[in-house]
Amino acid sequence: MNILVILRMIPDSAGELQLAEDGRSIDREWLDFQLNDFDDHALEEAILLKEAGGAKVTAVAVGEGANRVLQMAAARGADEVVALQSEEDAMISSREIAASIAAMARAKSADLVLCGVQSSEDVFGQLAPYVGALLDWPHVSGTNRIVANGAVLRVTQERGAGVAVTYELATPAVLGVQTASKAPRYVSGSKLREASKTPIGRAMPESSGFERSAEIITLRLPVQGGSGENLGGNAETVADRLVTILAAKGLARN
Amino acid sequence: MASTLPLWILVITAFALTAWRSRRYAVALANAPAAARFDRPMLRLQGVMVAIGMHRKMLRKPLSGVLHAIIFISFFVLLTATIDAFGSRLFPGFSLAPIGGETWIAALQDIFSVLMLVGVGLALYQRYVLRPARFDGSSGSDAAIIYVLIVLIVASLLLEAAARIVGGADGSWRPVASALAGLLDRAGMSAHAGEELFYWVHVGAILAFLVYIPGSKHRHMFLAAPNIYFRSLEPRGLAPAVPEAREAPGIDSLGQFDWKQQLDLLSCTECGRCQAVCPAHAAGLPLSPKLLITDLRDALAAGPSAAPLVGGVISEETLWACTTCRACMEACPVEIEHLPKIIDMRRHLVDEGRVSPGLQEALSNLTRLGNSMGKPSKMRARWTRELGFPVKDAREEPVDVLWFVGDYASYDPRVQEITRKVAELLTAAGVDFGILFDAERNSGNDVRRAGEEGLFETLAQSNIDEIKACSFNRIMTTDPHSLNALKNDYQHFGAAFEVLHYTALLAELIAAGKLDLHVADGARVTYHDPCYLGRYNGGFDAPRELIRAAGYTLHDMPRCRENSFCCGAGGGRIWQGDDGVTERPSENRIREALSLGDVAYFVVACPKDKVMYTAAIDALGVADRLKVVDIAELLVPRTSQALEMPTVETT
Amino acid sequence: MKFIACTEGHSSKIEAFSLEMIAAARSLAQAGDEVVAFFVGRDAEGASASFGAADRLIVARATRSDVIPAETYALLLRDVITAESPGLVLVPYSANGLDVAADIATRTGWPLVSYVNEIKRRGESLTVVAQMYGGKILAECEVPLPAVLMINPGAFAEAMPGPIAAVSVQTIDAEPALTGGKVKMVAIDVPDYADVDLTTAERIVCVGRGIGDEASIDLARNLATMLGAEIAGSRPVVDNGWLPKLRQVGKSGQKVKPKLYLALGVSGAPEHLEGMSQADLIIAVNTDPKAPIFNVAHYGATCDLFDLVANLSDRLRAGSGR
Repeated sequence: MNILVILRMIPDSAGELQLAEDGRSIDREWLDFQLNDFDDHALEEAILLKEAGGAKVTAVAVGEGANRVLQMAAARGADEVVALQSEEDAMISSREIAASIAAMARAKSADLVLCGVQSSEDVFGQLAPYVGALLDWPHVSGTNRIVANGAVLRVTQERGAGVAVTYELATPAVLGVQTASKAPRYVSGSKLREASKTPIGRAMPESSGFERSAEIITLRLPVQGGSGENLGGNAETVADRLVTILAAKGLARN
Repeated sequence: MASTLPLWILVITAFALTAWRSRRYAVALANAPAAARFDRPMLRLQGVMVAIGMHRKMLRKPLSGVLHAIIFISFFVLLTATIDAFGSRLFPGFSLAPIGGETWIAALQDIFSVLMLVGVGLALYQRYVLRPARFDGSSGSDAAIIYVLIVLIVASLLLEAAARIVGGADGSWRPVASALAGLLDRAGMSAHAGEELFYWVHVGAILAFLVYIPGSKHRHMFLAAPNIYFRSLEPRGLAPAVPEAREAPGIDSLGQFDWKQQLDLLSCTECGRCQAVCPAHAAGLPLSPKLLITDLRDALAAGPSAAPLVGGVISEETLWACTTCRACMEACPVEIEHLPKIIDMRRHLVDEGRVSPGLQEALSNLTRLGNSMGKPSKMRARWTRELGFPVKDAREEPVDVLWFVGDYASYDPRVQEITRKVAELLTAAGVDFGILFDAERNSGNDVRRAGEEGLFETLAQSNIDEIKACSFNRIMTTDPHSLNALKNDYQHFGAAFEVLHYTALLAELIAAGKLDLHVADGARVTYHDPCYLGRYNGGFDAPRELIRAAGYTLHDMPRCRENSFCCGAGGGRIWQGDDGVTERPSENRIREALSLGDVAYFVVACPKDKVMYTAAIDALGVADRLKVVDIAELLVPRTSQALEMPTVETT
Repeated sequence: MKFIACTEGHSSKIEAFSLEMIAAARSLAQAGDEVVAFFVGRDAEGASASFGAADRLIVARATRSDVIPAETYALLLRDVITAESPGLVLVPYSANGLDVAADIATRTGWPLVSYVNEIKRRGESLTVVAQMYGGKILAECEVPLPAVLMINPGAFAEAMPGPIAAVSVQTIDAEPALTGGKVKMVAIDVPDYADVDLTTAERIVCVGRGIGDEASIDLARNLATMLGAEIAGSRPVVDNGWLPKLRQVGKSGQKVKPKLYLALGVSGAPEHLEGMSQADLIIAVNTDPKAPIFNVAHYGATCDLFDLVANLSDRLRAGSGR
């Protein structure tokens, strides 16, 4: 089985986001970039499938820091790693890159394309259904377990309220991973160092093929604090107030 | 003499049995990887003399130390009796009589036989009446067999001499044997038969002892001295490097331990001093440094087996429980090196990706961002914003002191305030200092001790490159853990910096009269020696000088200086959950401080301690009785408002 | 112009956000426009009984399957779109919607915006406000029509439930599409609530990533006990294995509506807010004053959560006479 797994680099969620001067993008200069958490799970699921039944895993990374993350993917067990070129200092829109991924899936004769179910920059739509529809392959998003039995996949999807639904489908397919069957493994520094010699392939992007798309006019930060009352930052006074509030609402115990 | 041949047969058989019983250890040691422990023979010998000749560590536990010293000295005196017993019959004509064998040597044997019995009596009292917890898990039957054999050897020695006195020998140099002779005489025992009986019991017990030793903790009679001689002479804070010959960073079979590490296993006396001081053991975690060693030893004795070393002989939970506080190694009378073994086995786990989720997150953050908290590196120097003055960028301009701030002091809101206090003190004293801003990375001290050698190398190299690009005279660290890494571990990369802890620099400034401080009225405080400042790097005095200079009276806890009790955060423990912990080490320590009854401040000198002990005080709900303050908070320049001392109810 | 409001249900339950989709469409509809609700599932009767706010209802009736694979849903929706030529298709942000929206957008070539909170109509195009970066940024987008929008649950108030006239209901058979589909449902797992049911809990203390480590959960748990509350966690906390899955609040966990919701170190990703924003009293503690949780909180505090837990525990302990 040939598995293509997509790794998107996104702004660090712990970082503070600020708007760029044009007001239509975020200021990326001072941001750290990290692998989209869901994509990390997709990579793990790909490696688990390889370990369970044998597969060739090709990791494709896009965005700032792609090389670093591809070395990590190689250290974890990816057989081939490719950096997909992207426009510098631009957000990674899944709608934009879907055609490139679909083309790579065909070129690599992929049986399965795995990616994270979402990313923080997929406001114009999610990658798995885009790629699935472009290739006309079945796609399921939000998986937390994938088992391959030859060309038949058994996929469990997380739905709300703890409900899980299991589907069966045949490859080729595209899956949007929410959680890998096992938490992403740790790769030791020594393995990373070894993998730093892995050759990284390059791929050029294709046109998205969409004639009409939505466009960002402006970005803004949400109104802060909402309508709630700010109790401040002093733990003692906050605790005092909360005790009073809880008592007033009859929520203090007994 | 007719008994010569049987004795020869007996002796040769006993030695052959002993050799056979030792064969597995001999083969293991012969096949073990090399260890460079042959340098500086005089220094090594000197250590042996102090450790054994003066019983330095043994005497830290007075009863144990004294009783061991009695048995130890008696053994050497009674060795003359053993030589006499075997020599006289193996080589007819041999006698110690010409050098005093029947006079002063006889008198010494007589007296020390009794002392030996007193020593064994004390040992029995300690083991079976006092029953200290450190013996939990030690083999009770092994000790009992040894006691029986010693009593048998000594009693038969005395009785043999007594029988000879009954037969007409001169008893004037043997008061004890003479007294026994009276008893024998009254019992009506034939002098000759008695002498022969007790003689054979005596040599039989000695040979039984010899044969028994290879399978017993009493191997230490032969191995303690070499094990101490071959001890590590490296700085205490230097974790062992991964030998080039080793293929993977870690160890997953006993045979991969070098010969000294294996010799350690054979030298253990099961005294349990390590167990008694281990914070993980006290916390109820499945780690006893003693059992770690004896489990490894038993696996070595059992020979190759199917059970894996890591995760089998030694469980993963055991390995992750260690805080690397080094109290066990400090306590060990025979210089066993527990930590290198734990670190090497952790290296194997890390290489295999077998780490807890908490540790994985911390290590992933460190890989990605250079700090364990997952904070952007740009925010590392954010604490400087609230200072009233700018801090120099050491990368841009030369400084006298390069301040390596460390993760907790940089990022943790509970510690940032202290970091600013240190900056203010340095400024008040006119120190020309700078920091590395976002170029600083975690020092890697605990990364290395968590077994993540590859990541440690990456972090260390990055820091060394940044530091080397700066122009400075000395490095100061806030965190004792950074101090240790920069001063010791970075030597592996050829980096030789002059590194000192902020307490040392502040003490120096005060001694030079550069800091004019408010002086408190002698209020009593206690101080916690951080493992990586004290035990690892000998920084015991500077913090105490600072406390004194600030006008406080130090009331040390019972466990202080070398015997300080770890807060539980070291060696990567701070990144792991405390599943299985029955009492957090930090809470144990706070209780110790509370038991002093008269201190209002719990003074610390390590950012992790501020975090750990503040949490412990909250958890115990004793915030009204004890407050955690960093030493820097006690030092208040006269230009600022003096520190207000909380009132404390003394008990 | 026609609006298609995509609705959902599984087993014999209509999802509450279905009525929100109809309300969203209704809010845009002008005179002469038509709001068409589209439903696939077994509970055709339930849909007819509650989607009265729509002008018309197209039901693809399933007879055997409890859960409709998104693949099949999208296939049926495509036929409806071809037949109806709508100007706008509204898809809920749900497990199903995540697969349907971009699929439809690809097959039609239409624009798509996800995570939409607000929609304004401007002639032949729309201006929408969508969330990005876990709710830390709001994007105002221009969307040429026809288009597909994926709407955040909770962004629009539910339309009044009520029956729809029988003549306005058009029923098609979903079974051929289900049988011929490439994705087949083989099992459904509904959790056993024997342990804990957050959905009925009156008080919840929820911990987020800010709690730092597993050990600290105990501090929050003690506080919860003192408050008589259940302990819950956000997704990162549960993913780390610090709390069991049944204690997860949010989109992929439980949707809760307690009288008291105390959020400790929860940043408030949209997926989390979806699960708890209906709580009667929300108190949020987070050192980051920009955390989106403060947008829904009735009271917010920016102090260190450990300090607060300690202080609050002290006061509660003192209050209970200990």
